[in-house]
Amino acid sequence: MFTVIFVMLSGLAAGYLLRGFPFLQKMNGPIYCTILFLLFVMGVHVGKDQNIINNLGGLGLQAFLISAACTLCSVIAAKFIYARFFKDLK
Amino acid sequence: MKGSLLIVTFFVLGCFCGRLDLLPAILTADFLPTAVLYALMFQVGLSIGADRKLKAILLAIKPKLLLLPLATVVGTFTGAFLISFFITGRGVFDTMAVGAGFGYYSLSSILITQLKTPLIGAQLAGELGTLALMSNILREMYTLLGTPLFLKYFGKLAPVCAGGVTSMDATLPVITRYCGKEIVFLSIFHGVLLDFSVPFFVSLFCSL
Repeated sequence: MFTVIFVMLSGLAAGYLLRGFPFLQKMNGPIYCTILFLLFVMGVHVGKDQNIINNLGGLGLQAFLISAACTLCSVIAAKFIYARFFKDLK
Repeated sequence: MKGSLLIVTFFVLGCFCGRLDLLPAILTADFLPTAVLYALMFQVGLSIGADRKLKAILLAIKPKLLLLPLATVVGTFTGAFLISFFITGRGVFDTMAVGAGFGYYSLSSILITQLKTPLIGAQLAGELGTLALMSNILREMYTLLGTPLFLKYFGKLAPVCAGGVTSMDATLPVITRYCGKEIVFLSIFHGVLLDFSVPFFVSLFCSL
C-alpha cells in the first residue's frame, strides 16, 4: 500500500541528485500528459463497469455534498486563523 | 479551468471507449493503471526534488505559516467527517479519503481506485475513485467562482484554504486578483505542502 509513497520518495531523491539536468526543471508537460493518459485509462475501466455507469447521478450528488462540506469547513478554519494569528495581513 | 475541462474530456473519452469496447487488450489490461500511476508518482517526485525554488520556500518557512495548511487539513477532514453521516453506503474513512484529495482530483482519484481495489473490489473502488474525481473538481470550481464571497465573509486566507492544492496553480490567478499580491507566496507555500501530503493522507484513510 505504501509502494506509491516509496516510488514518489525515490523520485524525489533522484530529482535532487540530478537537479543539474535542465530537463528536470520542465517536468510539468510530461506530468500533465501522464495524468491525461492515466485518466483515460481510468475512464476505460469505469466505462467497462455497467454498475458505475448506472450510478453516476447518485455519485454526482455525493460529490457535491462532500466537496461543499470540505470547502465550507476549510473557509471557517481560515477565518479562525486569520482573526487570531494573521492580523498583520489586514 | 481549461485544464480541468481537458481532464474531464479524457476521462469521459475513456469511459466511452471502455463502454463500446473499442480498444486493444493492452489498453484495458488491469495492471496498466497501477503502472502508469507509479510512473506519474516518480515524475512528481523528480520535479519536487529538482525544484530550485524548493530550498527558498523551505528556508522562508516560519512556524506560524504552517497554520495555513493546517487549517485546510483540519477544516477539510472536519467537513468530510460530518457529511459522511448524511451519505449512505460510504464509510467515514472513505469519505475522508475523498476529501484528502484537497482539490488534487487527478492524483487522488487514481490513488483511491488503486489502493481500494484489493480491499473492496474493482467496482466499489472505481466508484469511490470517480467520486473523488468529481468531488475534487467541484472544490476547484467553488474556489474559482466563490473567491469574492469567501473573501468578503471569511477573510483573506479563506480562498487559499478553499482552493486546497490548487492554490499554487489553477486557482492562484483568481486568489491573487481578489486577495492581493501579498498572498501569492502564502498561497504557493500552502499548495506545495498540501500537494506533498495528498499521497500520505489518501493512503492512510484508504487503509483504515
